[in-house]
Amino acid sequence: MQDNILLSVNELRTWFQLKRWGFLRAGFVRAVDGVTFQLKRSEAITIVGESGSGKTSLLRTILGLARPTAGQITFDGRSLDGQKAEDLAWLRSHVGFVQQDPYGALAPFMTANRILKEPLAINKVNEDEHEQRIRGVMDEVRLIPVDDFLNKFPHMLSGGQQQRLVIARAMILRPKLIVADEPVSMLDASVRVEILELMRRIQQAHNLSVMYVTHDLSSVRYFSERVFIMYAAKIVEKTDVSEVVRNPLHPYTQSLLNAIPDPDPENAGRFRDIPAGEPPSLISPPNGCRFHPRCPRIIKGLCDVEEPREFEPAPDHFVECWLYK
Amino acid sequence: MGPAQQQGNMKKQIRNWWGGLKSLRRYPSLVAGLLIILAFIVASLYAVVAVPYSEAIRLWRGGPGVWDENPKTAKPVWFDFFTTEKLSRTIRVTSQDQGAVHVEPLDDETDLVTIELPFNYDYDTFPRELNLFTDASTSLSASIFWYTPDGRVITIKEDREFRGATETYYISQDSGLITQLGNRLPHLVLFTDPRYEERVLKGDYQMALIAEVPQGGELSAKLVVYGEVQGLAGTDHLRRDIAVALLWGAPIGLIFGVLAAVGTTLITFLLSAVGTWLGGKTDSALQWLTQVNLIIPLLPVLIMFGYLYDRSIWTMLGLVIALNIFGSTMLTNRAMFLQAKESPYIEAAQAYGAKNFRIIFRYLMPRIAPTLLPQLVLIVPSFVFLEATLSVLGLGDPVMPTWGKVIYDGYNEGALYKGLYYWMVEPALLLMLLGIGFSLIGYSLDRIFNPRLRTV
Amino acid sequence: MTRNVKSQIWPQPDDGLSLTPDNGPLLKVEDVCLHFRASNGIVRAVDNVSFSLDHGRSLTIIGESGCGKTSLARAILRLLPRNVETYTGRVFLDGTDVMTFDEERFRREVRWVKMSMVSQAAMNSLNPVLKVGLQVAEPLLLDHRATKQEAVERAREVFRIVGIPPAFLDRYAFELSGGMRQRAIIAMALVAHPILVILDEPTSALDVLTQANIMNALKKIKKELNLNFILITHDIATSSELADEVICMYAGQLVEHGRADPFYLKPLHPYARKLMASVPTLRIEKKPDFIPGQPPSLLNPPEGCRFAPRCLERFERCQEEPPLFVRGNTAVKCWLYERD
Repeated sequence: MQDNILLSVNELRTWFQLKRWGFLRAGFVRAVDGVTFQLKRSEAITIVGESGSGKTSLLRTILGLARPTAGQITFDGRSLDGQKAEDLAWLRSHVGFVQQDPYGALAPFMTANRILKEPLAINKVNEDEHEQRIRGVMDEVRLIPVDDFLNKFPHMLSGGQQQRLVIARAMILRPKLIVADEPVSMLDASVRVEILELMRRIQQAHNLSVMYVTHDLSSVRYFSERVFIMYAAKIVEKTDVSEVVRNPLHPYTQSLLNAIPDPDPENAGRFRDIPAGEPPSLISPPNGCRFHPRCPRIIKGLCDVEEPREFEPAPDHFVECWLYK
Repeated sequence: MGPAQQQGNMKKQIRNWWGGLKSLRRYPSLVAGLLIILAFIVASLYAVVAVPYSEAIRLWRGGPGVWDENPKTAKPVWFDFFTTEKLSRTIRVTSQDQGAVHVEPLDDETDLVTIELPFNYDYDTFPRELNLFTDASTSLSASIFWYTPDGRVITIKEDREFRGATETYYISQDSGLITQLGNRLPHLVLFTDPRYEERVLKGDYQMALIAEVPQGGELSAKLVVYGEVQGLAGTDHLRRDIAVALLWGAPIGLIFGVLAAVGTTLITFLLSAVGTWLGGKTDSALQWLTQVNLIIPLLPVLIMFGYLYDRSIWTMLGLVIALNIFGSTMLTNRAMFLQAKESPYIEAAQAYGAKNFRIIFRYLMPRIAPTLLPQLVLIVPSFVFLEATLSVLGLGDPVMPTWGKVIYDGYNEGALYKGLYYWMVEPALLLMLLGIGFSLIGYSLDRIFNPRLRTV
Repeated sequence: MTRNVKSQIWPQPDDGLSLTPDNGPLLKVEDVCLHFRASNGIVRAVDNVSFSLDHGRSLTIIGESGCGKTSLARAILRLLPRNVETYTGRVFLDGTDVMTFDEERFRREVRWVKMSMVSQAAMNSLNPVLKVGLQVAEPLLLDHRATKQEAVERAREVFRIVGIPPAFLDRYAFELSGGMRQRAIIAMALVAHPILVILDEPTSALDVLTQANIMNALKKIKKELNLNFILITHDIATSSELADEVICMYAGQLVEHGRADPFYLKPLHPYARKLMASVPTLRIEKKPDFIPGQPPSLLNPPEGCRFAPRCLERFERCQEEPPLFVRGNTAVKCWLYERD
């Protein structure tokens, strides 16, 4: 195993059992169905997917909040067995979580100080270190002067400040990986960039790896260098951000790009080329390639029968699509 | 922190409190409710101090000698305000105080003792009853005479035998006397103006006892002319002053209601939090228990238990709490916890390693805790009424004087049928007032703590 | 058949509102103010907003959350909550001041019949126990605007216009996907033949592909029916999809109103410029910008220009509230454009 790989995920599957009438088994929701990727140390990647693509479940599995059904996860050199509770617990304390809703992510009845103390207390960090760490992390997210903010409750802070506190909390256990679920989508447009820049700065200062999850492809370049496109519980394309705009390979990626407008007065006169239909159900996905019912470039007889393997048509640019055999 | 700063802090705290109290003005119903309950609390404190518990039990048990000087089923004194006539009150004349005792030796062994018991009767209505209490050191015989203001003398009894003990001569029930007075009740006849039927003769009356007492013997007498009104709240069929029960009903009702409310609310809160968080079988079991328990009617079970085992108020309290824990509050709490369970901050806590116990007590419960207070306050009246209901059905605590007990006695004695409305209405009004007080507080608190109910 | 329905639904010519457009603008909003009473003061959600919109033009209103754009829409359609403190101004629809109409007349003749609205996340407010077709037809069943037969026919027609297969008329809301539900809501807004449709964040709750699909549908409707749209959104990129003209709002006031063409590329007002600069773009490489500070509270807006505290180009004149200056086809509320 290479030393600069922090997280390695191989054929990861996370399936949730469906129960009818409380106890009858009725199939599985295959939220993550065969995902493989590697995340280097100090690397930032973004996972782009719409709702129902399984990105939230993938995120929760990496966080140790959801139990993987199959596949291997190796983190920081340690191979994890998804069935063992203590492995998942170990993972949880080494991965920081930044959530989408800054106000909801903070306990409304706790002061900022208490919010930051909780992870330290739970993970049995030495009491003497608490104050130093709390101040350190508040300073990093620029919630200064620290004393002013320590006794505030979440509702006394603005959206941006709340999200900074959430980031501070994610950092306080000194994780090597931070997972962020749409960290700025609930913030005002003028505040978003500020927070994204903050996260970038923190990432570079601490050599952190960051895994962003979002549905907004246009903001990806400000998050990370690499982007993974996720569709129907599988990662269909992996490449650099600039490459994905210049040369999108997977038909789904192409439609995503077609669908996203930039602020341009010409838009009002143009129709966009988008496939009809909806993402497939994760309970009974279609045979073969999961995008084939909507794909404008389907190869009949192949795409609807066999699941495509991963191909690398360009250096470091991976696609799961039969068009690139 | 120096003393000046401490003083400054205290001033700031007091100002904060005062500001907080003033902001309550926005909720007039809260202020009204608080005043009502405060009045009940003050009454309870007074009850416990002025009439200690053991004393109250003793008084309420009644028995000979306790309530002798009270008329039976007398109305409260303030009835007088509402009638044009002056309603009669109880008059007590004792040989030691207002009366006079003359001792004349008859011969060497006996004395002639004359006891004069004068009093002034100034009321427009007749007395209810007339009793003479005597205490003789030996057995003797005496004659009893009645002097009216217009100079007549009526012989009540010639040579009545008295034993050597305390004795009560129920003048109004003496059948001989009734016959002697022409088949009319003594306490009416003795006070009737002979010129007009049914009109009271006002003025100075006197009762005289003339007895031959062996030398060295003693005789004391007490005449009680029972009035129509007595006490702040009237009396019941056992001559007990209802005010004692009304007063003591406050602390009993309050304590029962508050303890039951606190016990039920807290335990339900805890169980629903744990059940909802753990989910799965625990949650299902709790829900199932609750739904089954909701079907079982509370009152019949309490009645059964009361008949078969024990009616003491503490047993009933425990049983009430136990049966109410798995009530509809469990389900409403569960709904709130289910919603809170989905909050992102709980997920975040799991992500940084919080375990179940910590999440339930430090993350989940504090979120929903503000609703506990209005829940608690609103449920107190139900328990107070429950205790009263049990008493009315005859299953209350056998010794304690409670409002429900008063209603029970009134009902059994046919108070409403007899027109003795005060007997049932007074405790009922107090129950209602207590309920209103708690409801006013509870609904205002609900509006304060539940922002969705607020109107801008 | 459609024409019969249409003529029965339209108010007759002598009812006060003209059918044929006169040469004036479709919508003229003059000095509209909408203030709410909150527990701690008065929220000045819309403060003296004036603009006009010609026939056949689509307008986009952009601004961040809390700038008053939804309140402006509510003010135009008179969908007011109970705690209104001030509601003044004039709203000319096709030359007639509808602010002078009493509530009953407004409800009968203007709301939904001439102007309708698609609310934010309205798709989640569909009645779960009524069939979708019936719900969409419902506005026509009020006030005997049409018979049940005609209403259902019209519902079928609007479903076709927004792109929902007619089979869905008999389905329930939970059977429709997110995109379908939003189309149903748009259909409901179109059902009474309005001339102006206000869309408040119609796609923000939807996925990217679904959003683009809905926008395509709206563009098609605009072309086919020659409808006027007012699109309200905080998503700057999406706003350009349906904009002939743009209004930018800040702190309850209109700060810039211009044609889409110069606005998206070169806005005039400092706030609008900063806003454009902060939008992440997919295809254009640029360094993102952000605006330090926060928008002012609408309870106590600052004196003078409301953006001045955060504006890098402010000077002493900005302590006084600037009027709307006109530069070519653009109106700007900024002292920088005083000399004309």
